[in-house]
Amino acid sequence: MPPDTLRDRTAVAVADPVLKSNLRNAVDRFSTARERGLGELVDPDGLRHAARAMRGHIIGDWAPTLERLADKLLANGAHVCWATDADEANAYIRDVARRIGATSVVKSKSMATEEIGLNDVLAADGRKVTETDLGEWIIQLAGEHPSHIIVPAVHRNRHQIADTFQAEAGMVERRTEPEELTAFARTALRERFLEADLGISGANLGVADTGSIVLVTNEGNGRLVTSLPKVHIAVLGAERIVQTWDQADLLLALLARSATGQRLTTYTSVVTGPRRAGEADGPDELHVVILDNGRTGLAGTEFAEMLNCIRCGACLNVCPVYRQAGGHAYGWVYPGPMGAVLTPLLAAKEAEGGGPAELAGASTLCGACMEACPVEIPLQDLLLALRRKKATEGGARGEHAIWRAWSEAWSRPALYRAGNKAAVRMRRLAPVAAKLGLAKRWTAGRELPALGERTFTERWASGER
Amino acid sequence: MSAEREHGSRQRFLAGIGAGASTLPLVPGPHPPPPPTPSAPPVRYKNVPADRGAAALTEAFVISAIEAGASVVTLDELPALVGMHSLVTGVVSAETEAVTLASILREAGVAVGHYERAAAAAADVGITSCVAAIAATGSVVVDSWVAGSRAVSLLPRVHLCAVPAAAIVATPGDFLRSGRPLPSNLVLISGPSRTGDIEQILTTGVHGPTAVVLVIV
Amino acid sequence: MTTAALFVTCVLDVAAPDVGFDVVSVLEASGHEVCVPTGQTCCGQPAWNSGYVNEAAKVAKTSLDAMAGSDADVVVVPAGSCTTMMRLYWPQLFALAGDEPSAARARELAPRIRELTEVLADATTAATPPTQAQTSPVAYHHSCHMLRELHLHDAPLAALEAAGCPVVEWPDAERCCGFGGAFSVKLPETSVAMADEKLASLPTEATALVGADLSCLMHLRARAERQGLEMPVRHIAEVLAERQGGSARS
Repeated sequence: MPPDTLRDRTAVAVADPVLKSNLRNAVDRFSTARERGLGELVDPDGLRHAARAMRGHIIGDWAPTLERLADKLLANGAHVCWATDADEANAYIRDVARRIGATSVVKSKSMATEEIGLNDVLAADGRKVTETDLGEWIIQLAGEHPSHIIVPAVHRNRHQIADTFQAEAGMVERRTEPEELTAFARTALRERFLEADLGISGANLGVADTGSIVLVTNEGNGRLVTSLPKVHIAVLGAERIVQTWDQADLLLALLARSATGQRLTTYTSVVTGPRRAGEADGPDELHVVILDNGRTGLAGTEFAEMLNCIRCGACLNVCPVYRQAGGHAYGWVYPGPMGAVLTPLLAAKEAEGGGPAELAGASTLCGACMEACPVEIPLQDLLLALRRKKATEGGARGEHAIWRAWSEAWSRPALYRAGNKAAVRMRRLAPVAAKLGLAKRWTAGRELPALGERTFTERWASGER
Repeated sequence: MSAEREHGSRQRFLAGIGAGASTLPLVPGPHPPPPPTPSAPPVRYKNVPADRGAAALTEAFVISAIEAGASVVTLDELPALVGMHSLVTGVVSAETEAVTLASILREAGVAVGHYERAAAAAADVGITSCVAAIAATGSVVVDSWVAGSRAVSLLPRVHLCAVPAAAIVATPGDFLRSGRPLPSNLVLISGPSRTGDIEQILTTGVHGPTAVVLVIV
Repeated sequence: MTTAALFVTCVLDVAAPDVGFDVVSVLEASGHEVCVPTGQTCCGQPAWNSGYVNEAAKVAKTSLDAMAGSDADVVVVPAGSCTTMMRLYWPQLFALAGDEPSAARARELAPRIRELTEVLADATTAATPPTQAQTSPVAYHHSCHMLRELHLHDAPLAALEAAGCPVVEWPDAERCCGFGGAFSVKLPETSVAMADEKLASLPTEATALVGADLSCLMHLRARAERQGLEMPVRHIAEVLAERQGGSARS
């Protein structure tokens, strides 16, 4: 995580007019599209509710389901790696790359591989890694991290993208129309697909009944990455599993519609084992890395429902805080409401600056996220739970003492009434108080509320009606 | 042996499940989860006709496919594609219907050969059939075992796909829940490749085909 | 005659006492006999939202005892956020604090805890006569707890409509104003940016910004004043009381 605080990063973000305009454009488009897309389903709220119950069942049945998935993957001829943490996952993938002597690696978008920092490990080991999802390629060239889980380069407009292509990708003649930028990317990346030794992807779902990996993509890079190179490695978050195709169908009906409003993304790919004898293309080796990295520890806790997340991004698109601050303000791989919950749970080791625990405060608890979530994750309740966790583990310095003093006073009616009386009488001191401590944070952008002469309680008690 | 292909420790991994749970009972909040259940109700779509007859499904499929950005032509209209999409070379996969379309295009002057990667990478058009087509979403389903390959519908600029009318089903669930044996690669294709990564403006033709042309046969 | 015990709320007590009298006036006009139980303080939400369970529970218990001790038919709360805290979150709060008896009492009290416009919607006597000439149009801000936790979307709009107060179409009406309690001073730049977008989106025909949560209104008014925006910001009880001619304090 970056060394500065959440407040530092959000303050910078909300002062950036280009970011503001890019963000609003994106999230408004997506949330409108989502409503339209879900509106085409009969009883979408009933489906979301059913999906919540179904995901709850699967996580309750997690170990047997994972074992079944692994056994089927193995029976289909795939390799299975049980990666308990980022180091194990990275080491495994690095070793596969070494064994096959991979010089060129192509990747399709995978938040899990961002989470474990895979690209840096492979690059340090001398492999050339190219992100092929257009948004991911843009930010790779720019040396940035994604700022939205569906559209990683949402924070950049066409001019900024053209700048990047000119500076880092060899675009000679400056073009800024989206069609032209896209055409440039198609040409520039085509050769990488064809020459790559190793393709690495994420996985939207693992289906235990058939030992299949499902990839939900739009650009075609996901298919190229998983079909052309001789070796394909898919990194699957351990919780991203279903047991049956009935369950997969329900989630697939909700996923694209919640993310972009599409009925289905352009390509819903189902990978079941490596290439079979007689097929003219496809990888000779399929590896599935099942990634824990802090997930399994959430089962059975008050945070367990966070494991139901299918990474659609709908919560980002409706969050009034994300709308202002953008993804980089969250400081890690996952932004928005789901990031505010997941980051403190998975990235607890990252302790620089304010640290992940701060992220539970990146919310007004408005509830729009739960309303948008296709699996009804009660994100606002999880954020409250994280705030309780932070308070018990040692909140901001002095904060506990303040609340303790507050509760001692306000649990006593006479003290409460006296305190409120004193507060209204101090209204003349308001301009002075305004410059102190927390009050200063209010008055930097807002006037102080004008207080009356007496409290309501006083006036009522005196017989005023 | 499959054991050689298993890496890391299954037991250690699975032992971590629930390791974070405390012994204290969990206190539910105001949005408690419903009772867990493995069942997944069928998904119903407003754009699927109640009439599941072949004619109604075909019509619904054509509408959805066009909405997904594909174009739908008749066999008679195939030769016109040559000029429209500047088709000079092509590759074809193994299905009978695909082979039929290929011969029509050959007669119209397109040099169509069997799939091999270099040819596909250079080809203007890739011709396949599909094992199913889905009315609710306008998708065609290409099966790598039936087609004999994957990249015919992926590398060339234009994907031309035969859609056997009898293969049209109403919803994704009708196909996905059918229990059909799975090939190494199955793909539901819903229109041409696209991205919204640049200012969320939809552009088609990214890494996959720039155009998808469907022929109901 | 329905008896109503008023939960004042800490914000109203200090920052908007006039609104309290408007609330009483509106309740009386709709057939309620109003009492204000002594011994009430705050619902505990500020500490709860910051994660301090025991501190929140200690304060909430005082208010629970005061309000549950009243035998009024309804406990009326003129704020969506406090109503949410008391009705939806108190049982969890007390259970987490290890106070099962209070949790049980809170569950028992919950059905009687009602937000102001809920109560008006239930009342058989309308607070304002329906045949008044219309006022100039207002914009109505749906506060988050009221909208998404209590699902009270139509009740406040119906109350305004019954009072002859047209509500303009406002696409951004349901977006969070950016107050969020401690959020307003923990992430002040973001909080202000959210208020700015909300204020900038106000339809030009709106002659006032009306809401049912004083916290939101306080924050929006404070920012509007700093911006020099000429937009009255009013609690719905003020508007309703004025329309029934009962407000002696306009």
